[in-house]
Amino acid sequence: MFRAIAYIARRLLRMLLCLMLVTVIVFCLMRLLPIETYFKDFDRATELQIHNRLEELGLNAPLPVQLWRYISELLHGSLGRSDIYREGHPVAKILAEKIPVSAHFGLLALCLSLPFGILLGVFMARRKGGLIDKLGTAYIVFVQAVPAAVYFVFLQLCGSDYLGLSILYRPSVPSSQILPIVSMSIPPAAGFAMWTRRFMLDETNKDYVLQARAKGLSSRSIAVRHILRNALVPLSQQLPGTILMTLSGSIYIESLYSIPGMGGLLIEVIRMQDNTMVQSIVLFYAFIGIVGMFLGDICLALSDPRIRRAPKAVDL
Amino acid sequence: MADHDICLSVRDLHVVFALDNGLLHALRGVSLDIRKGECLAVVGESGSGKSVLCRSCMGLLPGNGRVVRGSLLYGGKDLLNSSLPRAYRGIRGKAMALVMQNASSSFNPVLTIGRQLTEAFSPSVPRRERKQRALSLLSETGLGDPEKVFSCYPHELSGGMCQRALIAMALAGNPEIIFFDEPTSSLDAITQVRVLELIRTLSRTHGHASVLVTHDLSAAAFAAGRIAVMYAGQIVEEGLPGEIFHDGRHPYTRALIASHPARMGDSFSYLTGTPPSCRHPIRGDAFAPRNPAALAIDFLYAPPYFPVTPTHRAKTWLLDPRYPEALSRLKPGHAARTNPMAKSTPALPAEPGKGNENGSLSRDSVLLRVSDLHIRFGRGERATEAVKGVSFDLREGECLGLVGESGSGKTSIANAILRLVPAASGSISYRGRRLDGRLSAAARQYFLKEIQMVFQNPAAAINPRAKVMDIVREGLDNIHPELPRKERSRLAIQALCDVGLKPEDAFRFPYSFSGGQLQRIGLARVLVMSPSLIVADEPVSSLDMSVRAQIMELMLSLQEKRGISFLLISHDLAMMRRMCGRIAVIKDGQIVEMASSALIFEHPRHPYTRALLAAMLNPDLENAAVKP
Amino acid sequence: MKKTFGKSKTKALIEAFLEEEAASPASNEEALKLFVSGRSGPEEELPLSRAGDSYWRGTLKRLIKKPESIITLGVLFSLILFACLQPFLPGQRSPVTINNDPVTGLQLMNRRPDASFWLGTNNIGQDLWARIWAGTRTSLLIGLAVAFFRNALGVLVGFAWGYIRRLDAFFTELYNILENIPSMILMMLSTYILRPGMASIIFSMCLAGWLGTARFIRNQVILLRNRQFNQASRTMGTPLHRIFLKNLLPHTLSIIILQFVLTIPSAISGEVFLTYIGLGLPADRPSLGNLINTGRMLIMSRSLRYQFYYPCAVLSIITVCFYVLGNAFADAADPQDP
Repeated sequence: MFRAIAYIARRLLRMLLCLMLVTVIVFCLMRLLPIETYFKDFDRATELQIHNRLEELGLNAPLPVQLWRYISELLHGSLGRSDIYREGHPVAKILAEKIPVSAHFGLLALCLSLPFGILLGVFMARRKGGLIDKLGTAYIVFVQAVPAAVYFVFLQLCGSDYLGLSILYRPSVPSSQILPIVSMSIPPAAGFAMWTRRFMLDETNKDYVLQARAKGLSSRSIAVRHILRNALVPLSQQLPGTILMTLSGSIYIESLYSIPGMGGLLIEVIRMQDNTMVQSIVLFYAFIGIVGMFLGDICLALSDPRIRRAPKAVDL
Repeated sequence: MADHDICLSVRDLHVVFALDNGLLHALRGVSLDIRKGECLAVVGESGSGKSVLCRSCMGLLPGNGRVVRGSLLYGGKDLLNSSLPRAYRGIRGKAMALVMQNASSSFNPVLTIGRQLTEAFSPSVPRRERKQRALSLLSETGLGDPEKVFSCYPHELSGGMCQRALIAMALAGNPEIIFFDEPTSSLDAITQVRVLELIRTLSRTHGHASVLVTHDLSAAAFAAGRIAVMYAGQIVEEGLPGEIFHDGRHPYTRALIASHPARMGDSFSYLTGTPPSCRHPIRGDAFAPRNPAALAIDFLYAPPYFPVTPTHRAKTWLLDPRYPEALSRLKPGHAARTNPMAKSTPALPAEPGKGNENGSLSRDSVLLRVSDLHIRFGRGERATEAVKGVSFDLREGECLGLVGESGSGKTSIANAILRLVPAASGSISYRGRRLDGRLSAAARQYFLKEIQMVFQNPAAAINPRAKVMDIVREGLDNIHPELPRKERSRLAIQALCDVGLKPEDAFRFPYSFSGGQLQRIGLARVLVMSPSLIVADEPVSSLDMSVRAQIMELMLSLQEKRGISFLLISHDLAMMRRMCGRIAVIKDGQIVEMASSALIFEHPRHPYTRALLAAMLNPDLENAAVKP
Repeated sequence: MKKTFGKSKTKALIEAFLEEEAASPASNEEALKLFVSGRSGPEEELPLSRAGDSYWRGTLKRLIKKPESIITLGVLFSLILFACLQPFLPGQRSPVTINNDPVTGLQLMNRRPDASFWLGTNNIGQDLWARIWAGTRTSLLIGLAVAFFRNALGVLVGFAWGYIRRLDAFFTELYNILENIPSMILMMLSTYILRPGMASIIFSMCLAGWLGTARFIRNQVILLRNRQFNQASRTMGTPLHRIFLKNLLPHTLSIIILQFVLTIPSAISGEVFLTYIGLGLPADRPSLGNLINTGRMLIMSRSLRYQFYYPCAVLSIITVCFYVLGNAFADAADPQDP
């Protein structure tokens, strides 16, 4: 037990260090941007206007001072203020508006893709080389090879042309959520299916499965009690990150369907060159990525006795 | 033998595997009866089909394997006719159980031993009773703390403990037959004997039949009441241990027994060649090409079984009643040699390992001196000391054996001599020159030419993507880059011929060679550098019995002809006795006893040496007769 | 596997297996004659279990045995060849010229495909056919450049990381920190800061992926370093450069090639992504990414959807072919039944 706590503490420390480093790196990188990107019309601005604006944004101070200011603000829960997108608005407030929308779509899509992907993978593995396997493989190849931008648009077109669904998201029309959610679940479902299939096939060749068959267990109870129990180990490492990542929204889907979420916001602020917003969103993405990996490692350690009982084994 | 005694009857079983580039005829008509309560050993080399036999009896062939002919009669029914996989479910675990070779990987790593054990009980056992029964089975298999083992995960148990837990799991279904597929080959010698004893005892207390599949004749002799010898997918001979060991009729059986190191007398008999490939139809007796005394008919027709006694039968034309008649028709002198024993070499000096006593080399000069060697792995608290103060001398032209179990530090010593791992303290010197620590390039070059190593598993120690020529020439390229390339290639081919391979083999790739041939290549690439000392780390333990003797003989002749000294590392005492003049016994990183080979075997002093000797199994009738 | 058993050739072989076993001497007399020592016929050369192919020749043979690899290779080869030759063919228009109607002098905007504009024109009157091939060239260039630089960097670092023990701790820590940042974000941020352009796009995509490649190679190298044949080479004093050439490279080359081939479609898709979020190449540098993006803006109008479909089709063919080829190669290079 002590070892497990020590492991979690060490992992937590590494995560905090990581968050610090990423903040510093992102902040410093953003300072590399030329100052004209902070202005709507730099060419027409006077010397004084420029100076005042920079002073207002705090960009005239030396870099360490800026960094210190930024980090202490972060620790107080403030992400700064938007430059252009909604001038003067606190970034945290804007994000708080957007995150629930993204999470709503992301979680619904996950509820669709996870069972579908895993079931597809299981069926593909059970009949390797069969029809389902071939169709599933074609699906996986398609999703992995063709850029999402292409087939998302096709889905949008097909859905609106043939099924009469709304081409854009309207909060008042529940059916307008169908297309975005279905589209959003397609790529992760392919990932889950591919992973499950490979895992099942790998495990099926292992000694312990043969031994379980020799014990007289039915192939279903082997699949459920042995193989799936093993499959939960790597899955438990992926899942926290996947769930957290739904907060960040899908960049493609949200802009295609005009969903007011995080992904759409990112594109907008990039187009508008709102540096503070870009910086905050990038940091937000990095943070949930890092936290997700931390939670994943903890879940892995809890679900795998080889790590839980001997933390030494978590050697990278 | 009455029919009601038989619990499983295998009849004319043919199994074929579909591989990428053709088919493999793994079982070529196996017929075998397993009687109630007996312990039957199936002995054969790798690829002889002994594991496939187990798997097909259990209905557990891999997806690319298929029974193409034959029947499995169990309780009056043919199991192969019941095409439903469900029919087998009542059989597996309940009527027949399997204990596999790699015990630790035979358990699901994420479930406790207890959970996996309890699920092996038949559904009729009430849930409440299961734990109690599981605990009693665990203690019956000799696991000291059953409660603790019950809640352990597989990675927390040692190999021997896993093997015991696995046996307990096989017993859980209360089966009539248990198949043990190489149950001991991954264990240490002392543990091996204990597990074999356990198998013997359980057989008696539980009354199930045991089928012990093994490549190890001694293990078979130790545990089994009946032995079947397999070769190239067929059972070539079957009988009681005494009949097999002292009255073997099939030339393969006799050659196999003769090549066991414990059986080798002064004359070194061994098998030539390698087992046939079952990828092509085999004509006649599969062993004929390796049998110098084979009959013409052996090459044309497969022999049927001929009974010798009611319990003993063999599949060889030598037993055909027409054979003596045919012999008498022939002119005397043209008669076939009745002794089908394989090639015999002229007698070697009585004291092996001291071959060049009369040679020009002075016997007393010390070639290699290891003094107070310590080797540590890891840093800080986790550091473990693999070798704790080992000292020994190796004299010019001698063959010194280091015996110990896995983890005793013997391989670390070899690696330190080859400078693959650094010594923590102590020193190693070769002809008076220190070879550990920092060395100049010239010194490194010198030791490179003088000391070379032969590795345990030739298949792993040879780069599979290089041609044999490149492999053999590699060392020469390093130490004699000044020689023209043609000359280096010539020397490489010469070395190949010296180890008994053909020159054209130089242009083939390693995968087309068998294990024994690969080990010859491993020797050739060392010989081409003409070292004075060869460190051989378990040089034959990964090879088949019938091939081991060939390699040992080759090494002995090298020692004799070229005066090369050997440091031989092995866990196999029988082989040591054959090869070495002196033996050092290592335990936990320390030498516990070191003496001449004769002394060690006749007057072992240290208790550990005695335990090792006691664990050494001899394929002898005396030993076999001890059994119940 | 079931298929293999069904083939008639296989059936015949099984029959042959069973027959040899059943053969017995025709008569007593014949048998008696054969009870003599030695072979009756000429010495048969035992057939070798496998032909003496080198690993690479075997891989190539397995690769060309598969129909999908032949097809994808053919398609890719002709596409790339055509994309390169297209500007030099007669009757081709420039991808950036704005075409005007010779009579009215107005821009030929959004003209449907016809005899003079094979794939029509875009919203400012540029020839879509020419733009698509120019875009293909740009995208392929990006794909190849990213595949080359990213993997070159990844392989070099991976070899050093794996083989030189002292570097292991440093790179492992670096990896632990950087792997936490989603590579998409890294790519985006880096392009945003460097301002969009050919070089910055390629740089960003290399930045986002090299560490993963290095890690992958490192794991392979560590496995190889500890393999016994490498230890054997060390005991024989083989110098480092020869260990690299003979022991490490032949065993990692197949995965390096695989990484290279699979990086191309992912880089092409990456360019589409960057363009989509507004960090793509300027419109006067046609790429499949900005063609698709321009086409996407017009999909609301049904008659203009061709401007979206055509670049999509070309792009999908290219990425799917590379992807399928890569996987076919991986299967061929790593046979399950060696």
